[in-house]
Amino acid sequence: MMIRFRFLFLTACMLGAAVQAFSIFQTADASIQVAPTKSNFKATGAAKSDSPAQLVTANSKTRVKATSAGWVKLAGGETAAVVRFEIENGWHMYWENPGDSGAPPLAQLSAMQGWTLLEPIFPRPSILKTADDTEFIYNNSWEWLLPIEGPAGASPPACSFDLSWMVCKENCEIGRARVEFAAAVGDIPPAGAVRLGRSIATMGATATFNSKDQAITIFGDAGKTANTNSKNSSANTAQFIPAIIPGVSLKFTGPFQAKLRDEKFTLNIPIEIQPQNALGKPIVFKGLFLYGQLDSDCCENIRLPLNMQVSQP
Amino acid sequence: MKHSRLTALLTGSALLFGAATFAMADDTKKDKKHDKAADTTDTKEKRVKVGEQVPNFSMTDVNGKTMQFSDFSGKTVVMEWVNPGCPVCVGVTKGGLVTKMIADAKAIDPNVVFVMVNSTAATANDPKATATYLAEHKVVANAEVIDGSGVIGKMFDAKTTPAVYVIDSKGTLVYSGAFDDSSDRGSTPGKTNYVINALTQLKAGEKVSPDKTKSYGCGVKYAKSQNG
Repeated sequence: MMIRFRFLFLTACMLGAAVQAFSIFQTADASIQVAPTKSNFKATGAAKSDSPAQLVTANSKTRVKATSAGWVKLAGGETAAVVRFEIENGWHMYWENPGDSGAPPLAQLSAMQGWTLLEPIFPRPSILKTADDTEFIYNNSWEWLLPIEGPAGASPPACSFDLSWMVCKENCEIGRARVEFAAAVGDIPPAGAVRLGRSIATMGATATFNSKDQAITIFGDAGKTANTNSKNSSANTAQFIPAIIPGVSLKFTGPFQAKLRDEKFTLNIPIEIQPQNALGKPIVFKGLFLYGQLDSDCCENIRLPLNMQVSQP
Repeated sequence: MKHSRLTALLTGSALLFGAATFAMADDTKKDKKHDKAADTTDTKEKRVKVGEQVPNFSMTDVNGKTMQFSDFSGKTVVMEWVNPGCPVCVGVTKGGLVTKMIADAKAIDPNVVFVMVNSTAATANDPKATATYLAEHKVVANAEVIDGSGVIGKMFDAKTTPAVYVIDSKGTLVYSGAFDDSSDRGSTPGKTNYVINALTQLKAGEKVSPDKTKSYGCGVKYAKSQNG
């Protein structure tokens, strides 16, 4: 069975000056309340000074500061709240699939009639390898996009998100904060590649499932890596990190390294399909195809429904 | 005569050289094969997978008492990895989810054995802390095991705390993974506790499903001496 797929979001990978020029959406209420943070907190990437949207932030007990960083428009038309995390030096938070251990942050939209929180968008993570574990993490600072959906044509009203996260170093801590967003006013700017950090569509990667060999094959166009920030040899590398895929067992956590041949990245990932572990949901092979080696390089969202029959839990 | 001796000597040398070269080349091939295997396969210790028989192993509890896994032969065994220093582990324990799980499990199978294991090096070096932690939260287990060397944890490939493993009465690992399907790291209980789910299915004579889920929680930081 050969299944082809295409990616979720649209914009091409336009890193650099064009995105640097991206301005944060102005909100109606520019009041700033920043709660005190731990004294040893080291802000490694202060929120942009032109952001008036830093309304409520902070968690004084843990190693993370969370701030609102305005609204952006996604390619699909949804509006997303941008939460900026700044993490104390040496500590890290987790991607949607934390890897061997950890847990991703969670968000809950405050009760707001007619509006719902869609699936959060995580940017490209770093890969942390230790003797025992591989983890997909964020350190320093990163931005999390929380798309919300409401009445057609309506701009997001003032709202808040209750966030919780796990932040780890040698040990782990749980942090919580409520981050408030002022109502969106005026035109909402597009998210841009840097903010999305993934799903940089039209990079040309395809994935197929070979049922005979029980393997996923991913092809990526190496020529497209010219858009990456990696130089020379590092630009000619690609790897895949899997999301959490109930019903699919992989040999290891990843990352899976692609081979470069004839300007094509090729990656073969043996899988074991376990419908009994799909938790009653359709089995979808998914993850991120990472071009280059730098955290700021492009990546592409891979999503391949396997159309397996799964039993109800 | 001299000539034939010389020929024999040269022929013998050539044969020896050829054999040695062949052997060396073969060794190189083997080394390359080994390197390739090391790159592509899991070279770590033998790990027990779902569906496999759990081999016997020794355990030392918080009081220094040694016991064997085979001591629980014929009974269903639930092993849970714990760490008093992990907020997620503390969350499910403090929230009463562990004591409820044990009570619910005993209602299904009065003979079920619970083994709490601490393999996290940083806290395993203080067995009393683990004992106190479990006692404070009224967790009554059949064994409270300290695995400071990480041998047991690595055998089960325990990555997080909490993480649970169910071994049926025949000694087969029938479930590994998360404590439950909580959507918020155990802060609120999930709809399904996977241990109770497994025990219910075992009692009904059914195949355990799901038999593998992704556990959530803090990483088990093993003692560095074991990391190789």
